[in-house]
Order: sequence, then structure tokens, then C-alpha cells
Amino acid sequence: MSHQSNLIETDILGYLKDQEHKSLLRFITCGSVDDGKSTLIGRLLYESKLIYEDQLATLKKDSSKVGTQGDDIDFALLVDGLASEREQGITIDVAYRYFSTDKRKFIVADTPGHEQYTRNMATGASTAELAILMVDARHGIMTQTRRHSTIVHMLGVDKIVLAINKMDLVDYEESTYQKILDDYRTFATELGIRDFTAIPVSALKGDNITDPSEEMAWYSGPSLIEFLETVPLKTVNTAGAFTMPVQWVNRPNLDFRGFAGQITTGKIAVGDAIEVLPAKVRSTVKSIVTFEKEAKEAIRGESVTLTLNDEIDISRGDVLVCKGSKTEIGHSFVSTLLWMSEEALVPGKSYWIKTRAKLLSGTIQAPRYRLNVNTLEKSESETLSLNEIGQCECEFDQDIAYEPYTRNPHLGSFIIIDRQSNNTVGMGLIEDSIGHESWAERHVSERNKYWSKGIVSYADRVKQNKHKSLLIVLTGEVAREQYSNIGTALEKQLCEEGIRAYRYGFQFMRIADTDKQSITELRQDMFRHLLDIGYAFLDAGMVFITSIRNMSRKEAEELRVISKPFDVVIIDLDKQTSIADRVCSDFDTSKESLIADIVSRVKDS
Amino acid sequence: MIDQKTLTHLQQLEADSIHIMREVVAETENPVMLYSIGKDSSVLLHLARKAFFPAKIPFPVMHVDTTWKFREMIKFRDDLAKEYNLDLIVYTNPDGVSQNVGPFSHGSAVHTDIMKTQALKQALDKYKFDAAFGGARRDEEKSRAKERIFSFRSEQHRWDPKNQRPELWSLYNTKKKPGESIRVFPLSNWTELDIWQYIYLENIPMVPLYFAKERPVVFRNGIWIMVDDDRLVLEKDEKPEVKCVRFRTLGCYPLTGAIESNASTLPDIIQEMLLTKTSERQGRVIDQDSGASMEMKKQEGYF
Repeated sequence: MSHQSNLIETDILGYLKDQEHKSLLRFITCGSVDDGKSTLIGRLLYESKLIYEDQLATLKKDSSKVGTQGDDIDFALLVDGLASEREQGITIDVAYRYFSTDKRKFIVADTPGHEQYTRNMATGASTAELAILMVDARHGIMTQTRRHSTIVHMLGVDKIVLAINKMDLVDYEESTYQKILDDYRTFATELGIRDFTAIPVSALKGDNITDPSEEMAWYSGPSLIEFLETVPLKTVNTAGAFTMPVQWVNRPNLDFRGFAGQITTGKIAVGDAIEVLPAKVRSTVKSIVTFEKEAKEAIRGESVTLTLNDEIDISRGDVLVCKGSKTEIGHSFVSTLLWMSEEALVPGKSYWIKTRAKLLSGTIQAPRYRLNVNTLEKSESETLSLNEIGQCECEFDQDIAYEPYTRNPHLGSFIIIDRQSNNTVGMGLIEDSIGHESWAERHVSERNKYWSKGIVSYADRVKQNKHKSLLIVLTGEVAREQYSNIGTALEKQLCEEGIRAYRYGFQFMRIADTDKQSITELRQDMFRHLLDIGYAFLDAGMVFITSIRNMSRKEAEELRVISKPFDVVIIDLDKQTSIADRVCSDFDTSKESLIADIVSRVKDS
Repeated sequence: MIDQKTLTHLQQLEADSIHIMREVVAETENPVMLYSIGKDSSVLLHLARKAFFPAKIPFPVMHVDTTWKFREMIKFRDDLAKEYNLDLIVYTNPDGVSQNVGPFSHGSAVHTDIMKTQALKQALDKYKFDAAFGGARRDEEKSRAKERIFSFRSEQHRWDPKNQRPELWSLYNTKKKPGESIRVFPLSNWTELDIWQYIYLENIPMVPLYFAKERPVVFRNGIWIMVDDDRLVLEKDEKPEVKCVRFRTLGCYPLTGAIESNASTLPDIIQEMLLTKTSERQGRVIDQDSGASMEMKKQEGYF
């Protein structure tokens, strides 16, 4: 049944020990209708020896009866489970498959390609850590590829494999592969996908599935299985702050009151201080009750029962967090929605909303915009119809403890349920709360609270320096060298003009321990750190020059908030790309008058 | 666990299954666990004990008894119910009993329909259960691979595979109309190997029939049938033989094929399973019809 390991025969206990410590990767396969997803999964099962003889016999029988591969085995028949799917030869619903290799266990969600089944595809993507996007080498990047990429990216699946399939039908030509790769890179960059891996394969013939393809010697990257076996998994974030929604209160008798739930982030130990949200009541952990024995500590992913040292009122839907957690409280949110029902969104109508913690009521406003998943254009719309994505304001009837989806998907996601049909009609990803101060504003008030001012005033410094302070931030999608070249040149020329300028350069991603934080958190922390240093220079009356790669418009706004009341100049060095979220450039570095413009800006009184 | 930074895949599966069970208890009115006495049921029961500890399992455990189960299964069930203090319901279709329905007299299809499918529907209606846990896994069979963890049934207990609700993240929609019910499959993502390995690691008690022992069997319709009681009427040329056999799945004894085996411990069983070349359900008479037969049975209400 399983992949062949000699240990099974010689040392079954040793084999079981090995199995126990294998890691688990959940991934989805998606693509257009005939790209060969089902064939690929059938092939993966076949290659990992997961098909029994009786199943193989049935498969051979079915292949000759209804298969589409002539005398060859039609692997797709292994996965198309529903009768109507076999009749139509297409995948309608998500099929979950399980296989393992010597290194890893895999749960595969095989998701449908048809546009009308986009919601089924999102179902598969919501629990996946990696996505295989299938592309037919003969057709290249299609509308569906773009739509699936958008959804996968929106749901935070950050490992993407572009499987360029049916290479056998294009004579295994490298140029075909290269062209598709280039096309996809352009689209992916525009979408904000930072990284992906392209592998040329033939699921039907088995090229680059387990072993390197002999037909494609020009390809030196990993085979598909090799990649799946070795791609680093999301580090289980035990360093993050503890959060656990209370699912059920366990009260077998008057002496025991336990709070049962699955830990969504971080870890917890006996004695740790916790806070109950949204009530903001505090206590400490008395015990971590498990079936075997009392545990001292529990980590993310575990389903546990906690007892506390104080008798406080906690019920299902409350969220337990530890000190320092970034979980916030709110009831109206800007959210990205994917609509999943034939009945379009009715703005203002009351829907059931289910979050990880509880069920509540809510209304949704007409979209701020609707996203065209093929062109990434944002357009006006009065509603969202089946399979459409848009950004909406959502208002819940009570406060919930939440975090933005990008930081904590468990506390940043919700589903929308129709009150009449009881169907799940949409999915929502919380971006930000409305009517609450932003983190940048909070950061400013925190900083003002702790900033100890000297007796030399800013006005005195302006008088002494003979110019005002200024923050110059270089941004855009350009090479690191370009940042430092332009930054140092600016610094030198401004100093020659008698301006007290300082260029601060450092390598953004290398500083922190990336294991412990999500990229978003990390970027926000670095951003804050950089601007705090900058703030000291600005307060000292100087011109501070630095760079922040690929700054978004939101970040630009935050930057101006954090640097208030000082003047800010943002210079976008990149003139090629046309990203929707691109910041506006205050100055053009190619203009000869650049230095003079800056000088006049700081000398202007 | 303290020194481990990550959970093993079995710990992840366990935690997710417990989350599912608690969600059902928190959001439904009258849940029940369907208990078939087999290995998957045993794991399900074990997870329920863990999920609600130190409270006792907050729902009844129901066995739909066709009256043709192996005697050892029934004894195991009753012993376990006593030991774990289970709220056990045993339900048998009274119409089937009065008409003396059985696999020998009526054939496997009629027997399964009346004593299992119809009986289950009657029992769910009788006790007005709105959610029922089952031990099915997606790796068992093709139509199950497409079923949601929370799977809805109409008032007539029918499954509509083309109209399944999207199931996003771990957010389960348990809303339903009066009369509708949910089948919940907490073991959906477990494989057969995961089940055995978990039984081994957690030391979960099992019906002895899974372990090889000398038992009286006859060879009929291509499979070894155990002579469990005198309702098995021997045909002229049939003679029970004593063979060292065991069972990979458990059901009604006349419909469950034994395999010749010497595997008498859990590691032996796992080893045998991994080296075998036929799939688990092959020993079950009911699945051998056509590829879509399970899907049809499920649509009609066979769990």
C-alpha cells in the first residue's frame, strides 16, 4: 500500500517510529479544465505505490471503458469520484487524497478548474500551505491560471509551484517552458506573489514527477516530488503570542471549570498570565488538562482544556490571549470577500457570520470595489455575484477579538451564512478595523508618552543648522545597489550644500529572526524600527535619507503619520512597473534640479 | 511534548478531530455517535473521551445492530460500555426482525438496506438526533474523498453530492432547517495507516477478531466466512475448516471475509497491511458491485 520501505519487512517497529515523526504538507492542485490535475494526482498516488492491485485492476477496466487515454491507464479516473464527474470527465468537487513518501506525508486537495466551481477551489485553498498551479504547455497562462493565482495569493498560500504540464506534447522544448515562465513571472509580480517555482512535467508520461526527465536534460531543477518533499514548511509559531478561542466550557461538576479550545498561535504554560477578550479580564493559568495527565505547556495546534486561578465569566466565543498579543477588539471591518452563492450579495441584509470563535449577525455594505481577477483592475460595483472578489465594509452586531488575516488567518477569517437557506454564501478576510485608530497612530501616541524631551527646542536647531529637517525615503522595485548609490550620492551632495544630511542604510530582511515572525509582522516591526531611528534624526533637525523597498500606498500613509510633524519626501526609483498599489513619487531623481529642489524645500521658511 | 517545537502529523490530526467534536457539541442540539465497534469507531470513541475529559462524553453512543454481527463484537461493545460508563443505545429495525430479514434468506443487498440503512434512518428519526458522528475516512473510497467533514442530509436523510456547502478553513457551518441533520466525520483526513498507528501509540482496546487466531471458516463465494453461530447453514459439500485467520474490517459475519494470517499483534497487523496488495474494503461484500455503488448508497442514506 504505502511507498516501499525495506524497514516494513525487516523492522516494523523502527518503521513506525520513522512514520511518527514525518512532517505533514497540505497542498492543492488547481488549473484549467484539461490541464491534467487529476492525472497528476493519480500519477503521484501511483508513483508512491499507493494503489492496490485490486484498485489497479478496476482502473485498467475503467480506463478501457470510459478512459480518454486509449490503451494507457487514465489516472484521472482514480480521483474523479462522483458518477456525474466520470460521465462528464471533469472534476466538480474538491477531492482529498492522501499519500506519503519516505520523507513526508501529504494531504492533497484536487480542486476543479471550471469557473463555476471557483468556490470549491477556494475551499481547497483555505487549508493548504502550498499550491500547484497546472498549466498546459500548449496553451500557456490562461484566465483560470490568473484567477486561481489571485485566490491562492489572497488566502495567504505563499508556496506556489507552476507545473507546466503536457511537455510531451510540445516536444519537451525549453523555449516553450521559458516563455510560459516569463509570462507568469510578469503576472505574479503584478499580483504581489514574491516567489514561485516552475517545473516542466508530463503527468501522463511521468517526466519530472519523481525522477529527473531524460527528455528535458535542459532542466536542472528538482522533480515535483523532490520539491514537495523538501520545501520548508511554515515554522510552527511557538514564539508568537498565545491566542485560543474558547470553544466549549467544560463543567462536569461544581469543582471543575475548564475552557476547551484549539491553540491558534503561540504557546501557553501553567502560571502564564492571560487576558480574556473582548471583556479584557485577566487571570493566570492554573492547569492544562489533558486526558493522559496534566501538561506543563501546550503549543499551537493542540486542542486543550485550561483552568484558571480566578473565577471569571468566560463563554464560547471569548478569546484567551497572553500579554503582548496583538489581538484587537472590533466590530466593523474592511474585508476582502469572495462570494460563493448564485444569489448575489444583498448590501445591508442581515447574514449569519461565523468566526473561529462564534456565530453572530452582521451586515455587509456595497463593495468599495470589485476586483477583476484577470486584469487585477478594481471597478465599482453595487454587489458581488457568484465567484466574485471585492472589498466591503462589514458590520457585526457585537465586538470580536480579531487580527488582520495576513497576520493570523484563524482570527482574521469568517464565513457568511444566509439566514433563509442556511448555505455558506461567502468567505471574508479581515483587513482592518474601521473607526479605530491605526497601529501607526497608536505607535505615535505610545512614543509621545515615553519620549523624554531635552531643553534645546526644534526651533533652536533650525536656527543653528540653517535648515529644517526632512525625511527622504527611496522606494520602488530596483536593485539594492541602486538604493545605496542614489542614497549616498544624495547624502554627499546635500552635505556639500551645507545641509546636515545622514544616509542610513541597512539590510532589511537580515536583521530579525525570520522563524519567529510572519513576513508581515517582520516588515511592520522593521518599518517601525527604521522610522524611530529616523525620528531621532528629524528631531535633531537633520535630513535623514533611507530606503524601504517596494513601499505600498498604505505604508506611505503610515510613514507620514509616524513622522509627523516633520516633512517627508518619497522618491520612487522604479519607473517600469505599473503596480496598482504604487506610491506617488514626490521627486524625480533624473531631474537635474533634484538637489536644488531638496535644498529649497528645507531652506524654505 | 514540551521539548518539541512542532506537533507530529498524528498529533495534528488528533487536535483537529477534537476541535471538530467540540464544535458539534457546542453548536448542535442533540448529537449522537454512531458506533460500529470497528477500529475507526474505536479511535472515534477514544478521541471523544479525550475531547471532553474530565467530563464524560456528552452524547449517547449508538450501535445499529443488524443481529448478524460477530458475537465477539457484541461482547466487546457491552464490556466497553460498562467500563467507560457510556450512554449506549442499541437499535435494531423491528420490521426486519419481525420479517426475519437476514443475509442468507434475503441476500446481502436487501439485508444491508433493511437492517442497516433503514434501521439507521429509523433510529435517527426516533431519537431526533440532529448530528451524528461517523468514523468514515476520505481515503476509503472515491465518493467519500469528496464528502465534507460536516455533511448535510435532507429530512429524508439523502445526501446531495452536487450541492455541498463550501467548507472553509476550520469554520464549520452547522446551520440547518428543522428535520435536516448533519453527518460529521472527524476522521476524514486520517488514513488507514494513521488509524492503526494511533491505536498502537494510544493503546486503544480492539475487538480480538482483528488479531489472527484459529477460527472455524468455510469458503463461500470466493471469501472465507466464519462459522460464528448455527444460523450459517452448511451446504452439502461444505465443511468448516479451522484456519488461522483474522479480519481487516468488521461487519455482519456472513458478509465479512476473513484473511489467512498469522498477525497476532498490532505491529504484525500494521506490517501485514503495509505489505498487502489489496485494498481494505475488498473483503466487504457490499462494495463489490459497481464503482458508483457507495455513492448511490450514501445518497439513499447509508451513512
